[in-house]
Amino acid sequence: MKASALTTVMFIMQACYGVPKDIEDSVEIQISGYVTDKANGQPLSGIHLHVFHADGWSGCHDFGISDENGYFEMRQWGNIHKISQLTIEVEDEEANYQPFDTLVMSDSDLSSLKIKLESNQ
Amino acid sequence: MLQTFHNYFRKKETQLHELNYLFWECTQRCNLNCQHCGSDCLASSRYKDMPFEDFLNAIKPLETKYKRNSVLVVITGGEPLVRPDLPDCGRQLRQHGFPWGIVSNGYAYDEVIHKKLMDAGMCSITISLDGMRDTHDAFRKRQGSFDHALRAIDLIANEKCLPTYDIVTCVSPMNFGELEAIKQLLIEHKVKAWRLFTIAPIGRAAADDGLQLNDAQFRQLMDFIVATRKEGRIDCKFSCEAYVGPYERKIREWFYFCRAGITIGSILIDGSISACPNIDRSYVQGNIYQDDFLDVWENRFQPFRDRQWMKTGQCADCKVFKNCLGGAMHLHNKDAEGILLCHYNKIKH
Repeated sequence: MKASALTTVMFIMQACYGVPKDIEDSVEIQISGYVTDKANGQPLSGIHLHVFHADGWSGCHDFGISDENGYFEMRQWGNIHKISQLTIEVEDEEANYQPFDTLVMSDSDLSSLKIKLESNQ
Repeated sequence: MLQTFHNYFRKKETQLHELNYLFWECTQRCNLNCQHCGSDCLASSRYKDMPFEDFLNAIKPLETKYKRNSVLVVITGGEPLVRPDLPDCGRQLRQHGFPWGIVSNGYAYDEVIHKKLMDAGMCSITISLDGMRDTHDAFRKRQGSFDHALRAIDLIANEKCLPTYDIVTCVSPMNFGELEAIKQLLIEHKVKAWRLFTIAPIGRAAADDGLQLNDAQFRQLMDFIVATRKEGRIDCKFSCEAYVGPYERKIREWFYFCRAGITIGSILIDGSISACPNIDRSYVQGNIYQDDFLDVWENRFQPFRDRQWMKTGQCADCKVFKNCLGGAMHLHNKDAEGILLCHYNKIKH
């Protein structure tokens, strides 16, 4: 076994000054995907997205805006044992598309979401 | 046997010197004026708060060397909550792959800031509580400090999304008799982790001999921690400030190991690059405004990584030097021969 692996196993941080280091329960979830027009499949840029814990705890929120390819990326952080469901809210600030929200499981594949928005017209 | 095992891994960890804990002294301003402060901070500082961009630019090269989420940034001061941009700093750190936490006196920690910090991805926090109401307020030199700290503790202890936290108490003759009461209070308030320090003769505390425990009190403190750990109602531990001989592994999970400069670095208010912020500034290794932080981390820090120079003064002939390696870095300064305070001697006498 390499020394680095050994020291990782042995590493028990006992801070003298500072905060506790035992953050192995801390999880970072990446949420990414594409926003498209439901009718024609065209990518939608400038769409605002918001992700937060579904159960209403105070907890991490993150925001994203889709780019010219409709691609967005957000992250969610928190205690791995406590995050089960996330809410994603999607809104077109120019109101050309209907607002949309969805509930996702935090342990599912959240790296290639496909969000299709319905036009108001 | 286990101590020998630990010494071997300590040597390996020192050779690797992988950064995993980085202090950012973001301000020297503080909203309190504590009697025992190790940093000597003030309500208004001669240093302006460090612009977040300066800190971020200094640590960005770490993203090429270290895995995402492997370096914890510990935001300290002064009091970090005096910075209005703290949640935004935290959010940006998370976005760049640095988990972060704060050390706070809790005075300004209310529901609003708690929510903002959680929203920004805070993953660790330490709040100080130095006694029951009268004692704590006297230490802090401000009435209401205790109630404010307790409000912060309640918010944190009840926060489901926070991965970790603890409460710290600096033990001195003034609060020594209150340890049992503080313990009960923390348990009643659902606190899971409690870390006990003694007060180092540095910073503002250097001028006040009355803050040091005598030898008998120090041994009683060790016994109190051992007993509390056996009870198992709260995860009580002694901070990693000193080798304590026969109490090792009874007062914390593992052996004493001062990781300053080995896995712990810092960027201080003036851009200085060092390890824990309470270490004497004569050991500064560089400055982010002149040097590349990653280069300094990798190629300097020799006094931190080879501590044979500490074998002087009362450490010169000490039989446990191989276990303690001269004690904690913050208990040394270049003007003094040897360590400023030896906790092991307190136990022996």
